[in-house]
Amino acid sequence: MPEIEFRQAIRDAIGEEMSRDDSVVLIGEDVGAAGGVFQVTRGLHEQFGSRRVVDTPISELALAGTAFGAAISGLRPIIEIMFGDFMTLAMDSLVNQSAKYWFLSNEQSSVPLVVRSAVGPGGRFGPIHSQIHASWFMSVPGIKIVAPSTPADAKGLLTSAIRDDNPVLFLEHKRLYALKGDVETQVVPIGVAATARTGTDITIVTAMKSVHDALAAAETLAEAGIDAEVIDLRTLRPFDLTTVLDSVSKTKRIVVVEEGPRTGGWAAEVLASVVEHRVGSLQVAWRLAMPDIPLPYSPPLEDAFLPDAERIATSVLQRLGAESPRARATT
Amino acid sequence: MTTESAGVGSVGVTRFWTATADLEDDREAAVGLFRTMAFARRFEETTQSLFLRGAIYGSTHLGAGQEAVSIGVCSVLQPQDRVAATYRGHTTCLGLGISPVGLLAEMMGKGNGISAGRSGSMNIISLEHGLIGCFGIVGGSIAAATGVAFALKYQGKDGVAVAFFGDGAANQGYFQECLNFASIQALPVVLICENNQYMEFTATGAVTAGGILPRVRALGIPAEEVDGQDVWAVREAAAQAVARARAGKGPQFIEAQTYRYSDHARGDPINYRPDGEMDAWKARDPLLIARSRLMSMYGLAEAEVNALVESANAQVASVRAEATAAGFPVPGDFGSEFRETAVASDA
Amino acid sequence: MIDIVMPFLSGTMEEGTIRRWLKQPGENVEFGDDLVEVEADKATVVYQSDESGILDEILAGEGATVPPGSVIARLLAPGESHSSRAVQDAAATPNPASRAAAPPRRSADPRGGSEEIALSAAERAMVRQVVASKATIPHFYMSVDVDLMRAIDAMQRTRADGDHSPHPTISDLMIHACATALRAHRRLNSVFADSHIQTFARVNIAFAVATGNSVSTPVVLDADNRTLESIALETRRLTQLVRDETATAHDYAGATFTISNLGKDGPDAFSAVIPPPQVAILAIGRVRSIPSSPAVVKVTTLTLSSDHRVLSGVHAAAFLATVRTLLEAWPG
Repeated sequence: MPEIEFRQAIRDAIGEEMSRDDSVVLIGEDVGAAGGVFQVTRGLHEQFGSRRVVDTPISELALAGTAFGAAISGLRPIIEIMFGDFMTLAMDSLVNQSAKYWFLSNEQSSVPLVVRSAVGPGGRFGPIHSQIHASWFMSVPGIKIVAPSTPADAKGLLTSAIRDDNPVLFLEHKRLYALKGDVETQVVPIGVAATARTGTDITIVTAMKSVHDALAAAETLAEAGIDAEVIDLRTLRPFDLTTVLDSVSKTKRIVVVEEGPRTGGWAAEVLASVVEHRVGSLQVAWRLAMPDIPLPYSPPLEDAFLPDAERIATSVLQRLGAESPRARATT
Repeated sequence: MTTESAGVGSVGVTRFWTATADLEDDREAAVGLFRTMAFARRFEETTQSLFLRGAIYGSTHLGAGQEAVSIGVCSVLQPQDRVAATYRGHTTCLGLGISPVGLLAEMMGKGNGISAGRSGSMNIISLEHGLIGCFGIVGGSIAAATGVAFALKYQGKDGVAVAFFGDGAANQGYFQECLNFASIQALPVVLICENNQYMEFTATGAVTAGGILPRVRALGIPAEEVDGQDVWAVREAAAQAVARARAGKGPQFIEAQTYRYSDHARGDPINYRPDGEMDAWKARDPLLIARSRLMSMYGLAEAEVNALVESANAQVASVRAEATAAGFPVPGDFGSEFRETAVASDA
Repeated sequence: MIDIVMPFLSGTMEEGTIRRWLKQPGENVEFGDDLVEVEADKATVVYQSDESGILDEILAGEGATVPPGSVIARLLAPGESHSSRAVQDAAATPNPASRAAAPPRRSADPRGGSEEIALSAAERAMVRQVVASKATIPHFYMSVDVDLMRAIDAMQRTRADGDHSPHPTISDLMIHACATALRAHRRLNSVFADSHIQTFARVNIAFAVATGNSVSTPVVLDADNRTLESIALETRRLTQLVRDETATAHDYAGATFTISNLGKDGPDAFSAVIPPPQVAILAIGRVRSIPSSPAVVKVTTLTLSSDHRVLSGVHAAAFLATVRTLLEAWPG
């Protein structure tokens, strides 16, 4: 099977579901004729036409509201909120309409809608085009949040999201768009984590681009004699606590890595849940996240914020009491 | 003319789906319209009463005085049409034939309420009656109706989506964004602005630059003003607007001038209104206008009209008794935030 | 039998007082009829009947104070007769309004027999307010003596013949002076809001009016934009409303500062409790004559109570200095 880019995996999932089910529609700013600002939806407009691939004005609130009304009327809309940072403009409809409808209507109808957004730092886009909005929605009952790290998971999770009868936020880390990988035509269930690397000494829990950083860090840690297990959550809400607990039962140590501000981030939710269940047997538990400061633009400034592979490895080594192999080499 | 009675609950309210707006030949429909409005008036008074007795909680927003707009518009709709209303939506619910017992029980937090006590007054939803929801956020009804209209058009269905909202919504982001989108997409959405002259305590005119209708017309949407106290005038304007939307002419807008008798919500100081204003509007009470029409156009005697009111009042009293006697839901299994989905794993 | 209860007029209402019954037992009551005037949180509201019937029994008389939801009256439903009532009464729970009428118990209390004095709604409200004030506001006090000779003289002299407008009083003078001073000392025209101080553009001064066993504080709005005569008219008008018990919540709203004057028979000096959420209150002692050469001097002692979270001694002293300067140079 040839390798394809993360962005193409997303396009394929959308195209295949739209072919399979006439109730699936794609709506967003520049998703049609322009093919998407990150070229994710290129070709879909030619394939399905203006009735099914709709370019909208810059109206996030109308976009989210339209998707809500359409979703309770038999359609399965996929909308794009171009950058996760713009979720603030769509939030009233997502939070006060879509998320609550199933419950408030006493289960008369659910809201089968998918909201795709480009997220994540490291692209030099500055503070208001680099956020990951997952943390803003963690405490909104009725919202699912998925966060793939590979092309295969992107396709598999988006397919599940489109077929899910509930509102799903689909996070597309912009630094993964060009990542290539194998893709099988398989549905990846929402709410199930994957073990990206097995190990015995510490559990590193993370998602999206940080999975790749954690894997690179694991190589560095291996040289220092620390065998890390890397858990790719794949879904942030509801996250797969069972897989994480099984891992922590084995390693007794956990670090959660998040590319977002430390306070109130989704990593805190993961950590809190783990501690509730394993507090007696844990030796160490912490999060590695970004400072509680808006992300600066200038490359050296931005880089200082990112929990990259080196920072992950150093953090683990410091906590576990060993020196960085690089430091040892220079003394 | 086809009529359908709501079968839900022990006391139904007849809903009118007339093929045309012409009531002149239809005495029975005119009588039913009046009775529904009288029922709604007493229903709102009952809501207020229960509120003051501590049997309805939090806040409620009453539509007393605005019955002609909601009930008039609902009476020209067809079964395939959909309605989104606001937190001031009880009279709309009644106009759609939703069970008054279920409605009142929901407000009283009882187990047999429409949402089993989950939503309360502000978020009534009844898809089987075409009510996609009452929305507690100002402007939310506009977005919901826009989305439903999008689906109706997409699916090639012959339905329209009606949005009820207040004058205050004209200043919300939803208004600009959804009207613009509906206009460029030519969606079958009918926008009914119930202008009751006040937002919460502030007179709308004081904070709405340029007024409402010019904004709508600037977006290429046909817009007209109607006397919201006269249910005949409301029906005529609404029927025409609905017909145009149904024929694919895109969104249509009606601004209905009306007045609310109660405060925005419980406990509001009522002294923000100028002296004499309420009396002037009460002289044009929708029930008074309808009553005199019944007598002059259809030859009903005053005693007959009074009998209609008595009957409606008695019905409301029985609704009240039934809702009061109902039990509270027992906290326990709250269900799930999500609907269970079995995702097919085939390609 | 239909119960009429004390209505829930607001989400925070704890009790309501019956001011006046508008129907009497035996009278017919229709749905929507004005039934009773109820006072809660200092505002009086006419409660309309939400039932029809014949008013049978009033259980909470005028002046009674009960929590919302308590039964205050009963109507006979149409078609109902009295004989069915006796059975219901036997099952009825005791009404809280009737508790106050219970006879005092005999006891061997060394303080002798006692009598229970019920507190009115207004008195209860004052209890809550002063307890909250003293519990949360760190008070400090500062006094200054002010020579009012010149001011009193000027006030008496400027009355034209045939002027029947109310005589400005010492309190009116104090309101005027404080209003002017507050313009220059904005920090006292404010509230404390945890992490910041919020000052207000308008200067609205409340003044204390003794009512029964408690105190009402109606507000003179925009006191800094009024002449002394205008203030006098306004305080007279408000005082009358308070005495007639027709003042509404509006008349008590929006105060940014308060003065209190116990009158010519009051003490030489006293300190008052700051009404939250204000940050200061000025207590005015009686005007006393002090022999001095060459003439008798008329002095009052002003005592400023200040919220130490917002005001320091320097702030308080500066304010009082301005007030004293204004008064001693009256009319300026």
